Amino acid sequence: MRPAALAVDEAAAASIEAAPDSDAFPERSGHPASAPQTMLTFSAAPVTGSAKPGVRERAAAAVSLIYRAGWRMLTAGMVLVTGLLLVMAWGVALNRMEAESRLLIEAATRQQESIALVIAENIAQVLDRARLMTLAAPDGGAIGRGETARKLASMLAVDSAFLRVGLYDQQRQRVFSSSVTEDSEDLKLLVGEMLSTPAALSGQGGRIAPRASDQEMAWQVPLLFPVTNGRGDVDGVLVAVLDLGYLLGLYRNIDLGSTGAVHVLRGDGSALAEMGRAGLVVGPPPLDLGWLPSNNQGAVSRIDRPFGTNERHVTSYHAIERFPLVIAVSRELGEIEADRIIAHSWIRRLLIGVSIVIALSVFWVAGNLRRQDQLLRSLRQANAGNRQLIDELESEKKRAFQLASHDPLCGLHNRRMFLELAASHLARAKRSHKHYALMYLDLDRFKGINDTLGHHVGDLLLATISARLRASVRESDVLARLGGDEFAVLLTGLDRIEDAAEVADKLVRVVGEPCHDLDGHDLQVGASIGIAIFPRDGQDVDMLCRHADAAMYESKRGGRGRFTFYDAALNPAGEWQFGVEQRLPRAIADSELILHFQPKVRIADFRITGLEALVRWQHPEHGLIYPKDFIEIAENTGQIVALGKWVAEACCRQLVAWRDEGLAAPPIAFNVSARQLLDDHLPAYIANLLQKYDLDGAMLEIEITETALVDSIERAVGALAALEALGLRIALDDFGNGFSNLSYIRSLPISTLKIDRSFVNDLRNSPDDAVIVDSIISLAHNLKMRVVAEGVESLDQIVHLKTAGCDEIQGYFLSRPVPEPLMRELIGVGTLSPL
Amino acid sequence: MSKLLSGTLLVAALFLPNLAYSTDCEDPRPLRFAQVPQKKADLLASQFQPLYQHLERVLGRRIEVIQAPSYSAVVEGLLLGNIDLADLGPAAYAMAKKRRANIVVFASFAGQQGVVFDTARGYHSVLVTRADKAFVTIDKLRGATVSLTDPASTSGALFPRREIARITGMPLERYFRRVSYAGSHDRAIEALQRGAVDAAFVSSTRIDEMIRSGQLRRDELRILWQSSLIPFDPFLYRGTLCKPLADKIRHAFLVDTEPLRPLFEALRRPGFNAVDDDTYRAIRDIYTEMNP
Repeated sequence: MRPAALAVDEAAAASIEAAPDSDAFPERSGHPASAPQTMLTFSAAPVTGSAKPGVRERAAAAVSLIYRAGWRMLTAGMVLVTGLLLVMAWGVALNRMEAESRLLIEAATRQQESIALVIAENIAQVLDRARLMTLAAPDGGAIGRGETARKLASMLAVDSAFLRVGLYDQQRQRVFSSSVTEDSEDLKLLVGEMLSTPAALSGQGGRIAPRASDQEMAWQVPLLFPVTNGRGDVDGVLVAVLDLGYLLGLYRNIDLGSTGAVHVLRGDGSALAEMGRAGLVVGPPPLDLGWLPSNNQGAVSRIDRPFGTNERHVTSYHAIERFPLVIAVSRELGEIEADRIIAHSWIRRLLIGVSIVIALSVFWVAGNLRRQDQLLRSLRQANAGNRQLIDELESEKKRAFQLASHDPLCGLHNRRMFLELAASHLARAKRSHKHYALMYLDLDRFKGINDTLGHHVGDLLLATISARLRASVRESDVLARLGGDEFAVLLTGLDRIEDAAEVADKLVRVVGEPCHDLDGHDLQVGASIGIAIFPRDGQDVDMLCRHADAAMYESKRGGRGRFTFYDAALNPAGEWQFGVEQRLPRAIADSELILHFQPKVRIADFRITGLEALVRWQHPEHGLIYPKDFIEIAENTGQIVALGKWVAEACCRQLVAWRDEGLAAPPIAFNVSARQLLDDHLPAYIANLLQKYDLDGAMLEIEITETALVDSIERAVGALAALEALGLRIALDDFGNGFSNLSYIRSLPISTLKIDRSFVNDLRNSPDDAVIVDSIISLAHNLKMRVVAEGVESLDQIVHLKTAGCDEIQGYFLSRPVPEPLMRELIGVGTLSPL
Repeated sequence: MSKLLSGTLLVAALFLPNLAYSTDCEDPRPLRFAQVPQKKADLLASQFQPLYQHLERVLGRRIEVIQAPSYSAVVEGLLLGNIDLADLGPAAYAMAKKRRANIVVFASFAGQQGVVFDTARGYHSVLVTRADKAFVTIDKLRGATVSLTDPASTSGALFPRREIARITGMPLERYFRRVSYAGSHDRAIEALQRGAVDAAFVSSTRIDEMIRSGQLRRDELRILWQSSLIPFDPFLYRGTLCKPLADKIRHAFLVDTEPLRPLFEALRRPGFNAVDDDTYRAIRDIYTEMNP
């Protein structure tokens, strides 16, 4: 009808139906990336609808019209076709039955007609015999004279059809009778009548006299024949009494069925006799012969009710020549058709049954069609309603989700959303081996602004800051407002940890820029940032958040407007650095230094096989200061020797303390700088310590860097040999980075190689590094050295290292450097399983 | 026409050369014997074959058996002189006598106990219906169809007509809806068996005989009525037969009966009894009463 309109409607419907599906999935599975797409799809449907508002309604109406019309036409067509088929079937069947019936009746009629003909012929012959007698009657010109009696008697003797013969002369006197019988008066009257009528008028035939009244004479039918002379005058009358018994004998074997009958009728239709299966009935009711042409030759058949009963009969009539007798052979139509009726009634019943079944089927199918149509329509209505409901629900849900996941003030994610997003990012981060940094950012003195200038200004400030933050991070980073003046940033996919510091620095800077005209106020705030690095500072979001938060408070404590890594080792040195040089000797003397320990774990069974002692400076003003901020100074100023001695003795003290506590502490390794190593007194000092604290040399291990060997290999060899002699083991730290020549390493009494953390870090990213690590391990094993992997931060690395045959591992993944009390607990446990 | 005439005359001249003239006794050759058609003609002929042969031997002439289509035909034949020796029914005898036929009754079959009926001294007219139909009394048959035998039959017409009128007070033709003549007792029973009629008046002798021969089962029919005793069928000859011939006939029927054994066996009769007109007096009276 209107295909264009129809197409538009279908397109709109399709897009509407597609929308909820594509929308619901990403939200459930937490893929925010598909959300914008979803919204696009959503907006597509209304756009189509609103663009051509009239078209859509019209199209819908047209479709429903087609549906309705389709149903009606289908039903009408089905009824029509079925009706036609039924009419045809009935027509053919009835026609066939009619034809069969006609044939049957025709056959029966032919049979009856031939029977009628035979009987008529037979009776005609009988009558002819009587006429022969009339010829014999006149003897010598006078009736009944001479030989007449003898001739008649002899003719009668051989004719069983006639019982008696009598002869009347012209004077109505009976001149002959074959037996002594009184003729009735009726007969005599009739004789007189015949004698007074010229032969031409009385016809060539004869007359039938009434039967005698005696019942015993019931079968006797007197027939009267005129006896004529040569001139055509009636000279006398011959009475021949027909014996109906003769006819019965002749015809009783004609089988016309149970209803068949042969009637012998007078010309006026009154019946002389009826012969049927029961026998002969004398004087049955008359039949109407008025319709039969008087001069009819041959048989005529009719189907009617000739006997005044309800039964229709097929009756065949045959008039007898030259005598007022008619033979009627009849049979009930019902009997003729009986077999056919049985067969046909069966066919009819079958047809009726089939018709009813078909009609019911059509009715049922039509009903079903109609019901289906109604269902379809109500379904469409329900669908439309549902679609509307779904649309409403979807927009409601979207709004709720927006509310739930976004901070309405700044348009940033809220805490919940941030945690979700961060978690999903970290899940991917575990596979990428890039660095992820989680930052907590707190505005300095924001509360004061809020309190003094009002929430309004505070909100404006937050919005401004939010915009700056958003502008300062990449699209891939996650920015959220956790509440109040607290923000969180997840920096994703960093190549270097140092990048985090750069971003943090930038954020501090942009936040610190003045904010102009916030409702008339020009404001400036600072930001304190805490940074936790994944995975070293935590394997999950919770841990990272806690550590970032802690680091942020560290920033606030450190003077605000700055950023702090949770891993203090990453924090850059500050201006306090300048006091180190002066302060360090006193720190050593005043025991401001403490030791942290990081366990080394045997990869085979994760048993703690050793500790590395790391020095920390518990600065009274600046808090804990890490070695990278003062070791270099100590080296430069020569205080490194004193520091080294302190560390060595502190190790011994610690060992003794644990031994006194009954702890089975593993050997402690400490770093020995090149300067120390070249100090000739080192072996003696160590020996003293061992003696002083009553320690086995094996309980100590020194770690040296390659650089320590470069300056003076000979002196270093000497010192190392002396230390080895004391029982100490020697490890080569940060191996792989420098220029180590294996040939000279071989000559050194080194028992352990420590693979530099940079190789371990890149194990999964760089196939080259993996190869290097593998070859270092196999090399070291060839040199009978143990291999320790440093900086292990993930399970993947452990797996790889274990596969490569590494002996021991050390890193944040197992334990970061911890103060003595924690270390003591770890020693108590004895193992550090990563799993 | 003249050809037909001459042909007829010729034929007529060949038969009965001396009938009309002779007032003296007759000695017909062949002797013409007719029986009323109580049974089917072929059965009748085969059963009576011993009698025909016996008569031919004893009388020394051919016996011409005339098949009569009706009882009346035999009577008329006797009256006309076309039949010399006949086996009539009692009523037909009465009919013939009424019409002053010159006939001499001389024998009838001796009686014997039948399988159903007491037929030692005569037989009965019996009204029967089919046992499986609901016609249990004559009253129930009112308006039904009934079969008679022949208008001149004693048990199959005369007695029924008389007795039904007496019992029901109305003529047989009115009491029954439809009255048909079967022609013989056999055919009446057949019509009844086939259901062509509801009831039939037949001779008890025929019922006995048909049951004996297996044509009829004993429980097939229900007997509603039976008449008083009727004398057995009379054998008679025309009174104009010469005495020697008549005597020989009597002798053959009543004395020299040994060759008739097969006939007696077939009909279960002990033999012939000598009878005279008195035996049928009652019947003749009844007939006259019925046909004044």
